[in-house]
Amino acid sequence: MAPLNDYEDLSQLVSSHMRPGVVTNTMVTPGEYGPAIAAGTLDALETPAGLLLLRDRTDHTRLNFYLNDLSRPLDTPLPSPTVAEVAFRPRDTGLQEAVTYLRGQGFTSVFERVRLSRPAGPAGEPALPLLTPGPENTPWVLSFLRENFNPLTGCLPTEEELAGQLAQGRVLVLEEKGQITGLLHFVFDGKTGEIRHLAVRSDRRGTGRTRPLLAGYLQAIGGAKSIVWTRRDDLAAQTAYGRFGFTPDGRRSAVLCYTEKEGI
Amino acid sequence: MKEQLLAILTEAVPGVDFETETALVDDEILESLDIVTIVSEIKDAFDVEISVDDLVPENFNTVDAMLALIEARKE
Repeated sequence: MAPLNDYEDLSQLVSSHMRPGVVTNTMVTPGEYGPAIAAGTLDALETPAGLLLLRDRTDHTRLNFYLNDLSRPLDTPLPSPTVAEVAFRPRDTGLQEAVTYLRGQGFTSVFERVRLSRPAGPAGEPALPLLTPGPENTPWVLSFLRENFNPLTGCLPTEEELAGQLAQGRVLVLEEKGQITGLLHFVFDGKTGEIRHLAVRSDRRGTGRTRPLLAGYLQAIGGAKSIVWTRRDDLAAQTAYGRFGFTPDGRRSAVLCYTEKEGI
Repeated sequence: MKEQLLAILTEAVPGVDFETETALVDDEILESLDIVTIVSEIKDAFDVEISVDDLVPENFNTVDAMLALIEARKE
């Protein structure tokens, strides 16, 4: 395993794996990989099947890949646990084959997700007042996220990532007596918004708190196009998003996990 | 060269009129992973080196922009 300390090294390595037939679940950009390089948490692993990019997230490792030959085994030890998500459209047969391949290499399916999209359109006013916490509230917000999402598969931001997103106003909060009762975390590139996390505290669920969070989010992105990934079996979430105009757009993903127990 | 590129594009993403589209990436007709697939084929077909750093929207919004990138990498 070779730690990568320079984006130029990563760029050259990945470029050399862009060959006909390659399948990948990541786009290498400075914005996506720069923080891990700066933190010294990105490793590259050359295997018989292709290139693996491993980002240490403290309690697990996130796997991305550029696989060139699915007929060959990975044939290399991986950190445990290692989590990979492979998103694909119906026509992305190569990526669907990559999911089957990883299962054959010892990864187990954790769950599947579906993507919902909402075209650009007006948003209503939130019915409850929302807070937009700043970076000084990072521990407060991160604590709520950790309480409500699985650390392995919840795609939680690091403290540094979250602080940056809070500075941009990317988290909306419902608060009661100094405690968060509902939260929506999103990203927005100016064209498309993506909901990353939406949760209501367990004792406040079923009390209409999702609606103001979604309305506030759509208002925050100016009614731009929006997407969200939900668990395939979470029909309650899909219904809630459906009320705001989100519909399945045909994209799915498989979340896979490798643990030492399964072995390669 | 244009015909060869169009063949690669049509194979990668069927059903698109690549000759008339002017915002393939901006209009989300091509997505990032499509571009990786297309670049992998271009590198092989035209024997050019294209880096991940070249994978920016302005190089892939039109067929002409892709041809310009190939020409630039041939030099």
